[in-house]
Amino acid sequence: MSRLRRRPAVTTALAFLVLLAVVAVLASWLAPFDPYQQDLDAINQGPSGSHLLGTDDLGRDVLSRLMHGARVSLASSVLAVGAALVVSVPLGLVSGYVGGRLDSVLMRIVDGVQSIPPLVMALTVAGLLGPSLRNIVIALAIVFTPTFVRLVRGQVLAVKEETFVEASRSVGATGAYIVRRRILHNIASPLVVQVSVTLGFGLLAEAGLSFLGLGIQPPEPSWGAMLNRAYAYIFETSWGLFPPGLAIMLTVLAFNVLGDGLRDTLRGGR
Amino acid sequence: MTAGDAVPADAVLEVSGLTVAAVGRGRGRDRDRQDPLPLVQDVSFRLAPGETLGLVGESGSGKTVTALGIMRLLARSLRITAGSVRLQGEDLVQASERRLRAVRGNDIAMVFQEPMTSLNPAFTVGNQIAEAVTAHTGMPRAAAWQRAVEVLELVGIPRAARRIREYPHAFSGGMRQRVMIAMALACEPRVLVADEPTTAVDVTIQAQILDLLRRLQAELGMAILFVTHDLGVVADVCDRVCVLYAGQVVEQAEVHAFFDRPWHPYSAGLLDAMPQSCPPGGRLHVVAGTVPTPDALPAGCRFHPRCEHAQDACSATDPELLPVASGGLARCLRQHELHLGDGAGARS
Amino acid sequence: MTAFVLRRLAGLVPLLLVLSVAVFLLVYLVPGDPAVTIAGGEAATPERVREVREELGLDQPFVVQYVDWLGDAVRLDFGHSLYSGRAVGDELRHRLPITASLVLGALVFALAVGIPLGALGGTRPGSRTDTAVTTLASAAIAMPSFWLAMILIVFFGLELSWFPVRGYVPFGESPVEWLRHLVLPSVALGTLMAATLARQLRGALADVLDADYVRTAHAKGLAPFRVVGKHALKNAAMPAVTVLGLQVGYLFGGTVIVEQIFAIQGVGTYMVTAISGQDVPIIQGGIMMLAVFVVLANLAVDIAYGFLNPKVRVA
Repeated sequence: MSRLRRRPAVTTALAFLVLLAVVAVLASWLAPFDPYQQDLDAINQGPSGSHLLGTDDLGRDVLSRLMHGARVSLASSVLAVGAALVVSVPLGLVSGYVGGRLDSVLMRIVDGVQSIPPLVMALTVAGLLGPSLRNIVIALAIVFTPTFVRLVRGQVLAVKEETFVEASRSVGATGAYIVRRRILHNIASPLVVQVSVTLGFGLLAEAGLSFLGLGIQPPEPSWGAMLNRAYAYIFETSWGLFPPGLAIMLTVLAFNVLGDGLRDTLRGGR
Repeated sequence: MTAGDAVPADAVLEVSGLTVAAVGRGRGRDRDRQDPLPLVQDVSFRLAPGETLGLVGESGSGKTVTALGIMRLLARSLRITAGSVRLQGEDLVQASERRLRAVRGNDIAMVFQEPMTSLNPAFTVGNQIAEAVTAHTGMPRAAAWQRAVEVLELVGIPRAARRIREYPHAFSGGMRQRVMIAMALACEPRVLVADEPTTAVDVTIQAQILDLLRRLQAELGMAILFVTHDLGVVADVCDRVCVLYAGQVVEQAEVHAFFDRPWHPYSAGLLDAMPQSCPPGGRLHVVAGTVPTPDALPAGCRFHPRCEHAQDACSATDPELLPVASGGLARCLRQHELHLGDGAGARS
Repeated sequence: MTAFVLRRLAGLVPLLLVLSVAVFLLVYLVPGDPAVTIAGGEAATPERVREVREELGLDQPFVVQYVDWLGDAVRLDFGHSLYSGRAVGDELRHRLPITASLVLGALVFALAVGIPLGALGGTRPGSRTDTAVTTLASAAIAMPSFWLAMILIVFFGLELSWFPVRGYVPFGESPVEWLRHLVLPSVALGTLMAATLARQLRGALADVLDADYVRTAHAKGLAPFRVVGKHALKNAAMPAVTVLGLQVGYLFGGTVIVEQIFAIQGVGTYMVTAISGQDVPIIQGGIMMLAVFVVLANLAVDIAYGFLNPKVRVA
């Protein structure tokens, strides 16, 4: 942890994400306006004294919608990654450890699923199941699972080789206990890095889905949906594109920088 | 400086007062912030055509830095801050990048320590050798490849014409080293700088490569600067020896004279530490301590903390490199008093 | 080399089969009975529902349905749209060149921008140029492609009016207009790949330039351009090419959104409409086609890697 402190970019990213999480959770208290409150006299306005980031096409305060939207966008990403981990870690462990037929079949399936472009997969699943937070989470979880499974399985295979070599050299027996400990120790760091990057990607995917109308439905605020509405009015004003767009970009950037930083520090340790 | 150096005046390589220093981290803004830290100081020696000079020292003595400095291949963070390197009269330190490129690989070539990583894994062996040829001569591709075959045969690679299309990973360590040597010789350089060419291969291969180098030198009349830490190798192939310690030359001598009687305590220590010097069943002699790092050099003589013969004067005065009776040079305040070596170090 | 390629091609078959099963299964995600939905939902009469079921073969056992579908799919017959009745295969064939132009444009942009930037940063690690390149690349990776598309439209399309912001013009009609209409969408789609490529190449080059064999190349007296362009680049290209393979999927997925924004009638917009309407045959056919292209692209990347790295060919 102390090594991370030496890299200002990474600590900034982490601070940003923590701040964002806090805002998301406390949105109802922190937001200046009710995100659903319309004011048809003040539509599509730029930043002003009362509305720091302006208003949208129904006169709703952009800043408040941005804060509430953070909740939805982050939640879907976090839940999706969580769900994917719950499925892929055991799957990867078993596949790598048991090997043989089971492993080959599983890897073929993973290959097949991975050939489907991730966004198309997410779109299809979310679209077919019906747009809702729950279904976005399921769709994204399906998209994320293959990568995590491969990662876990790869580490298991690496450890298997190591301990096999160790065992053939050592005098005592290398029990399953040691294998288990090595594996868990090995998968921790690359998994953490991948999780960070995937959280960013999940955010992008959710935004894309919501933008296409297949994600979070209005009037629920989500960053992708906000972009959708703003896009319809670009001939009049392009301001609306910036708050949600920059929010997405900065958050994803923060996740990526964090992931990079973790990879660099953890590589040294492991 | 060169008085007492028993070499005829027509040296093909003449290094004078070479000083190489580290200048900060070498990247970005910090490049020139710190004072330059000398790694190699005031190194001078000459190499005559057809002669082999052994540049000897422990790790950290500065021998590789010297070799790289001569070739002007130093890392970005290192710089030549003084001295000259004259190849056939031309000073390479003052030469332009363009001129250096014409000279490298052509008039002076280098063989590196690590054969496993010194060849590009993505190109065939023939491609890499022919490339050196076409870079310096106007030869058409076919002729260059033919030359590559010739030179591979010269270094003793069997079925050269077929193996020329293979990639480096198809060759063993010893073979790769031969390929490196072949590549260095392709343009018939006057000087070959060999940086520990046998360190990374096993003993039998080492013997073969030394044989090869001797034979090639006889055939081609090439001068060789042989960088090594192994005195056994020096006895085998070198005509003269130059001993480096902590970045300075501490002794220079003709090889028989050196093994018969060294004039610097460090040289004596190295000779005594050779396994061959040790009587069967006896304990190996070691030179106690380690080579000082460039930023923590002792005052006075750099070797004095490890020297059996050190006196008070040694920690106060920096000795100069001066001629000794046998015709060589030594850097020791007590060189006229000490009688080192026992004659048993003489190897044929 | 040929043996390597053939082996890779042979490995495709099981992959494609698994793919087809996955695609076919996707459809069963739809809640409820598709026959009912098509027949008109709640208002459908039981007879109508039964009719639809028979028409679409939904009363057959699962495996039979799959085999039927697969048999037709191999002949590029993906059935008919549930709503318009038009042959899916025909429509896909018609839209394919449009999407292909877009993907190609994005690829060209990504290579033309990513490689030079990566080389620029990689040959000067730690310098200001390098930091600029890395920062720019990181920012570009974090940008949602559709947002970038919108910004490009606002700035280059509306403000400066340099490029059109909607539609597609076939090459046959007017090569110039075809190109003009493709510029903004290609940039929007290709930026992610360009940035990833730049980062990867920069990292790989910085590593490679420290390698012993690069020092050997200098020792031979080769010109710096040759040392970097030949010796360093070929080795640095290996990890970069691998990453490129992973990116292809994102490229194909991205067309869906980009086409939507630029109102380009390609496979992407076709898919989005189909998904919204749960038009199953189109979804199946479209995904199958996209996935096959991804697989082929990965194969091309594999072969390219084999070309770069001779050690892999023996394996």
